[in-house]
Amino acid sequence: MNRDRIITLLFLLGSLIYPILMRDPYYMHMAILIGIYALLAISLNLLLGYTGQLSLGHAAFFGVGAYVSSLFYLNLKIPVWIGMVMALIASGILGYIVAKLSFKLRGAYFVIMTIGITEVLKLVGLNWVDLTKGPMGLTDIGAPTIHLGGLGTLDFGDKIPYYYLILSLVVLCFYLQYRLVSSSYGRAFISIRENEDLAESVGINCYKYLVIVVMVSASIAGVAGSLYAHYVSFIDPGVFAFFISVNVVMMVIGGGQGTLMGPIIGAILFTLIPEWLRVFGDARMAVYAVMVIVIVIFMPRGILFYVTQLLNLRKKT
Amino acid sequence: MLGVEHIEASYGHIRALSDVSLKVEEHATVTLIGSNGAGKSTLLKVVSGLLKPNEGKVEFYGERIDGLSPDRIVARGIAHCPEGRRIFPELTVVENLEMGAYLERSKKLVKERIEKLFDSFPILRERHKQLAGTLSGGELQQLAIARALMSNPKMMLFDEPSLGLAPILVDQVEKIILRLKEEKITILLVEQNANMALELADYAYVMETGSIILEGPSPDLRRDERVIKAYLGGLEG
Amino acid sequence: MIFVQYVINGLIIGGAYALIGIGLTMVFGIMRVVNFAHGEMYMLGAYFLFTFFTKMGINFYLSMLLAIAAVMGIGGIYEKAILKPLRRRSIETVMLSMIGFSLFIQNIAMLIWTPVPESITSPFPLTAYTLGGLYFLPQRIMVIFAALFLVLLTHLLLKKTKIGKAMRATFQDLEAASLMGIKIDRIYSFTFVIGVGLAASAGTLLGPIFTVHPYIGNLANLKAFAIVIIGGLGSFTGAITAGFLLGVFESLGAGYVSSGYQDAIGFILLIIILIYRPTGLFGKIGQRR
Ligand SMILES: Nc1ncnc2c1ncn2[C@@H]1O[C@H](COP(=O)(O)OP(=O)(O)OP(=O)(O)O)[C@@H](O)[C@H]1O
Ligand SMILES: [Mg+2]
Repeated sequence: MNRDRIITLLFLLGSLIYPILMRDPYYMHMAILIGIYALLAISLNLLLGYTGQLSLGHAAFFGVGAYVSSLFYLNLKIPVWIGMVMALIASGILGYIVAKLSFKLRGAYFVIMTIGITEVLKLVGLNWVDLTKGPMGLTDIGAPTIHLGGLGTLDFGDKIPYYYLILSLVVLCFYLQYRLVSSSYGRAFISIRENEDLAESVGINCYKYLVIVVMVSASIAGVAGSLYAHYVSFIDPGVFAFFISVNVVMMVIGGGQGTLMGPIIGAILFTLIPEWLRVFGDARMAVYAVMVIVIVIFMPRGILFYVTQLLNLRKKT
Repeated sequence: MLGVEHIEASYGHIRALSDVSLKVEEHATVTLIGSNGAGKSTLLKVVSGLLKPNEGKVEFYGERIDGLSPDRIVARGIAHCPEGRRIFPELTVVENLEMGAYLERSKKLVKERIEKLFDSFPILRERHKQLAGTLSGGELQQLAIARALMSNPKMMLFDEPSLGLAPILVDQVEKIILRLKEEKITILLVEQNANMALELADYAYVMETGSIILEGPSPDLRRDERVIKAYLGGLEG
Repeated sequence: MIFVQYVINGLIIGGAYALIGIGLTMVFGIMRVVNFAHGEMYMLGAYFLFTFFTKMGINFYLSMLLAIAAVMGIGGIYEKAILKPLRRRSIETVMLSMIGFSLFIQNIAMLIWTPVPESITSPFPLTAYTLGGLYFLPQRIMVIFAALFLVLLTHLLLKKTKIGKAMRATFQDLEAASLMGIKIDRIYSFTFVIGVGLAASAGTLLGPIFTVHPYIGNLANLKAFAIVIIGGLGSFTGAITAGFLLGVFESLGAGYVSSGYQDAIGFILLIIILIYRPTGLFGKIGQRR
């Protein structure tokens, strides 16, 4: 317990001084993306890690967040912050609908619903040209700003302030995850994951808890989408890519599902891995796919878990 | 001919059998009685290969069969008539019977066996085209037994064939088993209906919470006080 | 009249959808898992036909058979190498490895055939027969007849043959089936191979009608999921009905509403079904004990 705390704090400290050590814009860029994916991974960890429900449509919540917040900004010229809240609400509502529809029946239904809704939203993004500009996408999505009275305005259009904005949100969500998981809700989630029938028999309303956790998860994913849009300032229906959903699942599983730090570690690994795989050229995604299969089959408890186990074995022999 | 030695088996972490041994001689009828959850069905599953034991061995005609897959065990001549009948509800009666003889390659032989069984179970002939799911309880039990017999087994494992049947139908099942006994088929009969089981069997085992606690020739057990108290409702006399 | 034409066009495409649907529902029937690589098998069917027929000039029907056989071979290897060892693992592990496999196939297809869409040349004359004001393209007539033939063949396989009966027995009660001496492993492999073969056959039928590119499997998957859920997971009749239904609705939707959303229609039907009849039209969920 204590060791975990120390590691977490060291991690936080490292993240705080990271921009001082790494001035290179590329490293800052990767760090910001990692932060955004960490939010997405935390949101999925609540669902997959703690209640055992596999979502393969986190790109849907992410993309809806990105589009809603961008559209509010571009069409109504309201502050970005309000747009972000709108993204949170919109994704939460979408999550509610998906959960309501699919949790009457279990098993593959939720997975299919989440995949399906992503594909449909992609079609909407491509075809509702009046609103979304279709495949052209939305451009000139501004970054948030804060007026500091006499001190001028803090513009999050720069990488460093945006980095700290994201970092604070990751810390907030991490804390939220921690509180949620150690509350009575968290215990309910875990009992649903371990044995749904048993959970139901001790009076846990699984359906209700699952709907709640999907809503929370979707809302966080929506915020991540919004942060992404205002960071890159351009989005197209590619935000609904199936790859995003798969990669987030890999973050959660590869990092260690159902652990607090898992999604953070996973986000680092699986933001960087697709970049590293560029050395394989066109075969990059095929290699990635093989990795997915290998990790899912042989390392369901996360890469780190197996690496430490291997190291421990070495020490012993 | 069937020897079960020091079997230990579990479902995941739940231990269901510990150190169970029993023997069934050729042409004998042996019963295994015991209350709910004692592990009787589990033992049959181990014998028929549905569950791999953690320890111990199962021998059939002197050869080890534990660890073999169910189809291999059926091929050696053990038919398991499972608890709850487990008929294929959306197959017709005839199709169910055909499945019973799945390992028999000759279609002609399968047909002959079906005809022979129809003679012993005339109600099945009447229903032969119906979906099995539409049969009544007694008919289902007959079909389950007939289906198991389709493999032409040397040995039959029965798991609570009288369960859930009206008294007349229980008598009917009893008659069927008696007939099989006369035909020199070796039988291992699991029952909660100890009265019937002890009447039919030559030798009996009593199981409780995963272990054999008592065994002996049926007539002896019928006079055993513990058995009378626990399984015969104290009405024996 | 145009309405009738739309319905007929829809029924023709629906025939191929029915094939995709029964393939998926069969695999679900035995594995209790939706095969997430089903659409990729459809895609491979279309691409193999492209290679054998358009590129290599082999006879069209022979090319179709070769394409289907090739996909069945790949499916068989996949089943043996990956799915079989995972039989006792959690459903999530199985689903995710299937998704990994589908990504793999998609990207291998991209390496082999490039992402540029290809079209399979039609071996049939391009002039339509007319009958009472309705048009029938020879290509499409072949599609519906081939689809009906394959549906019938699958039906006969399941109803009349020994292995077909064993498959149905296994769908209904796996444990009891194994007590009959049925080798469950063989039934798994056989069912999987037949299932992906049906997806591939749909690919060879629709490939010459639409264009072929490495991502057509995504939409095929989505439609296949919709079909089996609308029809009722595991139901053969349901998959056929829902396949034709989807074809007709798509055709009407594209004709009267907008072709951009044509591919979303399956999902919309799926949602309607989930609201009003969650077990599907012919639903029998949880039938196996
Ligand atoms: N599939 C299973 N998974 C987990 N535990 C099981 C399973 N089947 C049986 N058990 C447990 O194993 C023990 C033995 O069960 P078994 O079915 O062999 O008893 P039984 O003597 O046949 O009882 P009954 O007379 O009710 O049929 C019980 O405690 C039961 O709860
Ligand atoms: Mg029992």
